[in-house]
Amino acid sequence: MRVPVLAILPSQEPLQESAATALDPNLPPSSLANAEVPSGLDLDMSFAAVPIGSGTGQEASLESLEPTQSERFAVRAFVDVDDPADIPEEVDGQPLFGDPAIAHFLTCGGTPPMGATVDVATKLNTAALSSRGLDGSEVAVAIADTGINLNHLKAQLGQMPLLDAGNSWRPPGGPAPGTSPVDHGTMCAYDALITAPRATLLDVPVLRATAPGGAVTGGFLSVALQAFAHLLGFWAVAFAPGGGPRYKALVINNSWGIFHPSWDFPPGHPGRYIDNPTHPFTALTSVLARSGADILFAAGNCGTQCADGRCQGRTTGTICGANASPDVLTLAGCDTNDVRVGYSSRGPSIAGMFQNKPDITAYTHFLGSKAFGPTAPDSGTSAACPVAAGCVAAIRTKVSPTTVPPANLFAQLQSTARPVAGQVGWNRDYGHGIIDPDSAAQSLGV
Amino acid sequence: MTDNETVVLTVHGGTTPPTLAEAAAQHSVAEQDLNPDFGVRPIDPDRGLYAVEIRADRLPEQEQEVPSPYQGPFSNPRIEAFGPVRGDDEEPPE
Repeated sequence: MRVPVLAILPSQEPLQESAATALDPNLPPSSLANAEVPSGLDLDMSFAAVPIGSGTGQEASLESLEPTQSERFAVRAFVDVDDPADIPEEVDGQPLFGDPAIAHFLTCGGTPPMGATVDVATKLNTAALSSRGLDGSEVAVAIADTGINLNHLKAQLGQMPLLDAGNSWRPPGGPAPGTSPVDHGTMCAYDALITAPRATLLDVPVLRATAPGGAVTGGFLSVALQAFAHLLGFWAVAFAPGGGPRYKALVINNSWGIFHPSWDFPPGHPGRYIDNPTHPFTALTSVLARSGADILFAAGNCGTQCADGRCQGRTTGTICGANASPDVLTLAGCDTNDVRVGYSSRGPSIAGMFQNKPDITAYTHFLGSKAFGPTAPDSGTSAACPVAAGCVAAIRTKVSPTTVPPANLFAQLQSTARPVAGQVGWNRDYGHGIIDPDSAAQSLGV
Repeated sequence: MTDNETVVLTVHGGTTPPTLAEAAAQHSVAEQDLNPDFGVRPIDPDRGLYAVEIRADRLPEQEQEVPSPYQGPFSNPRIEAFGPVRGDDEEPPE
């Protein structure tokens, strides 16, 4: 392999000329071609030599850094080795140093918001969608989460969003639809409404399990199974010709999942969830999808660079369970600079499930719902998922699931996604790229 | 596995779900061992497939030999939000 390094060479005329030219563009061009270079070192001719004085690390005077005065120069070069462990510490007595790739820091959990709702709306071209009537009208968006607080949404949006309380799902003893404390579910609802402001929310608080002290920490999969069974029944009625309250489509947002295999049955157990497509919940998810509901799941927050603590350091094969079903759209997260956030789980999925997850990427870590305070971002792949759910709902305003079933719509979203720099096809960070609902809608003729 | 106090069993019915008693009989457990609040939920009604919930400690010692497809017990793991949650001590997005 060819490894970039920084080498320190003693002063010589070609190095002095290279450094001088870099400092003064009026000087005639110079070349490093005639520099004396130790064997085994391939000089990078495009990299101007840098005077470093004595190169001993001692405090250097400005004069000692003049090209004509400097005793040593840093140059960029390459060495060929079979293994990184074989990189020599010096070549012909000249020291070598690493020249690692550097990049700006990835967005992590503690990073302040990157942009705001308006930036996300601009990125998604919501104005163009809205001008064509793609705003989520008569589309139901189920927020399977901690519950929705309508008053907070009204305060943030400037108007009361639509909520179908009668067809929402309520766990035993749970709060009335739309009256849950401001929390994660309210964040998700807000984010879905960015692109689909006229969608009708269904409040489905599957995560409202209360721990000692009153903190909402999560739920159990059986609760989600109950809720999905309810949605299956609702959808069968709502979408049946001549049925009750009709909707054009049902979009289900799921910004939750399993953080670590230790939460599940042991490997090899036939009743295990995370890598078992026949688990009842995953099977129900597939049935619901085949009946025409658009189901979205977040990929998870076990990304390599800054995984959630609950991942217990495990960052491979972390997209699992229904989140890795081929029948759902699985969302990675990026910031408003189109850079994947460091906590977004990377593919491929856990062995045994559909491998090429995530499917696609949407925006997160922006100042949006303010559900967690006036300066706290909507974060996690939790926020990316409803941002995409809103895009799906907007398109569903004029694209029926009977003519374009969920699998076809998801394929269209993938094929029209914006690839990140250098991306060809699916990759484990972004899936097929960053969601572009306007392009997807146009490709579907709306 | 932790926190799996309940598990899920699949049961078979027709176009309408079996009663809780019928579901219990399919797995040779007492009806009162099944969670009445969970009830009998559809998984794939077209195939007559439904689900019930039972406390893990109420499962029979020896699950009866069941023909394929596997009917359970299936895991009922805890699930959590992939983002910040109020009252969570950890730093967002945890």
